[in-house]
Amino acid sequence: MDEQEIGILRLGLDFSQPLYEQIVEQMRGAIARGEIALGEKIPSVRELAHGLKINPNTVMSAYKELERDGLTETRRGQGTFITSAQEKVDDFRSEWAEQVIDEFLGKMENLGYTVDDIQLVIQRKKEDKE
Amino acid sequence: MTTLRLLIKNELRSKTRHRERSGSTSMPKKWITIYGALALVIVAGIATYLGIQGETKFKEIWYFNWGMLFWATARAGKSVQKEWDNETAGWWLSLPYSRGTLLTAKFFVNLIRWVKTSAVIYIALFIFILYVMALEGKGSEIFDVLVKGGQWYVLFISLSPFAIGVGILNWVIRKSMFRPMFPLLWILSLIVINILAWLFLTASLTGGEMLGIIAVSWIVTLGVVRLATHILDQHAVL
Amino acid sequence: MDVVVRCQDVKKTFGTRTALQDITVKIPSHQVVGILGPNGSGKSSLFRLILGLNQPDSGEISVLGRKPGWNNNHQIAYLPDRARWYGDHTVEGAFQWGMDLLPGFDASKANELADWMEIDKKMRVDGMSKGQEARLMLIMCLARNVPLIVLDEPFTGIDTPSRERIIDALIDRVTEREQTILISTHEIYEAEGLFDSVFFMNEGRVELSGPAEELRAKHGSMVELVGKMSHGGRGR
Repeated sequence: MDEQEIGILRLGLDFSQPLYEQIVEQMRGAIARGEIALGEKIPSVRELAHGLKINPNTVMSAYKELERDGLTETRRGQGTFITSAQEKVDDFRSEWAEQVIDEFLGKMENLGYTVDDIQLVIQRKKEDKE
Repeated sequence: MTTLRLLIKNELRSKTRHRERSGSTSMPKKWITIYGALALVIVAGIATYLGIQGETKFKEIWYFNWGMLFWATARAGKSVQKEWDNETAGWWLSLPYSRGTLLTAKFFVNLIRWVKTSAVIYIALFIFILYVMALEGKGSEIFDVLVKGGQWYVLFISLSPFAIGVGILNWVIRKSMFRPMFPLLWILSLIVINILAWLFLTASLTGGEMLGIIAVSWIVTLGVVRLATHILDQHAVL
Repeated sequence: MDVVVRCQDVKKTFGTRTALQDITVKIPSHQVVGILGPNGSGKSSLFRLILGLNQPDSGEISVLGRKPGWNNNHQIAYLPDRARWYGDHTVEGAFQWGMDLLPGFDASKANELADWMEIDKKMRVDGMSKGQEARLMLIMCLARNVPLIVLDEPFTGIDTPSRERIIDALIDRVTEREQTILISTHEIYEAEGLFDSVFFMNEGRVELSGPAEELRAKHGSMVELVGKMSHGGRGR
């Protein structure tokens, strides 16, 4: 998958997966990891649609989702910006992390793992990495 | 009415009959001029020769009208055919105007062009005749010949709507589900036009008879264009 | 969901050849809709019925709420399949033709598009490359303020730069206005991301349809889907 650089964004789309989710996920990640600075202006819907060669409607709904997350804000007549409030990003990040972990726990429980079992597995992974 | 006027205007503006295939080269303008001049010299030479001989009869020269009727028919057919040849039929037929309006525009454009083409040919012929007769010293007969020619021009222009209508109908049928009927209809059309030309050029009709035939041909032309419209509307193959 | 084209049991044959069999679809409006499928799958036949260029043998079809025909076509901009433009026109001449004969043709929009697509306005069509001519023909369609734009194979036989320009122009069109754009193509090229919804046709039938994102989630990319279709699979 080729990564495209559009303004401050680096995105790569896999056309065998829903595009909207990919844009949202990749941008959420970049903001949460701090790769995009707070208060930065992001490309317009038109620019991103041209850059990725996709339907502007798809970009528009992805941007709306990010605004609902509190990660971006639209300033009238100026465009869309990454939020300048660090706490909003932090909130979102921990909320998202919580969600991922819940999902993970749910799946593991489904496989018959207890929380203790999971801890053991994680411990082993950690040692492997070190 | 304005729609028809605009369709006619745009059709008249479009002069290309055949789009050049890629790779083919067109005749340079310079050479067209050279060949044209050469032809003019030869014609002038013949005219001078005839004039010096002094025995030229201009009675049968008007028989060229016979061929002109077929030319008008074929040219009208071509004006329909070119939409397919040039791959513009899709644009033409998806215009938001009725098939009747589209074909009526084609009909009038053909008629206008035909009046012009015939006029050019008649004028050239008049110049030729005038030159020959002047050399022969038959100045007194010139006026009679010009009047005769004028009459032929008006007569054959009056017959051209029928020829044009028939041309359009034939080529619309060629582009429809009725294509198998085309050769038959085409032969029939040629016979009818032959009879018309023969009647006017060789049978000695009275003025009234001529007017009658012309009037009938115009009424038939209306029917022919209506039929072409119906076929283009219901049975065209794109 | 608003519907722009509604077909009910539509059948069309040409002599012994069946072009469309039992087509029943509702094509949503205000979207970019892809009509995808191999050559000869019935895409162009469907478009010709939408424009009223041919009549169905049986079944009902309505376009923008009306029966197709010449008196409905003022609402539709149509790029015919394998079309050429009038060879003796210049670009300006073509725009004049558009202003005279095409309802809703916006000359200033056409000029803007011509600049942006890098088309020389003094150029004659018979001196153009295929890609340039294709760009001009697309401008003739996109410069119209009509509710429905129907493009039959706009990418076929065109060089990549022209194709990208055309796709960019389409993207802008979607950004600007509330129009429905129907695009048929047998090769997806770079248009993959353009469609809101798609209809896959094969052998005169609609075999699969839905919002592009849903189909991606279920079946993968449009390119893969078309590949499966053309090799006899049902993609399901």
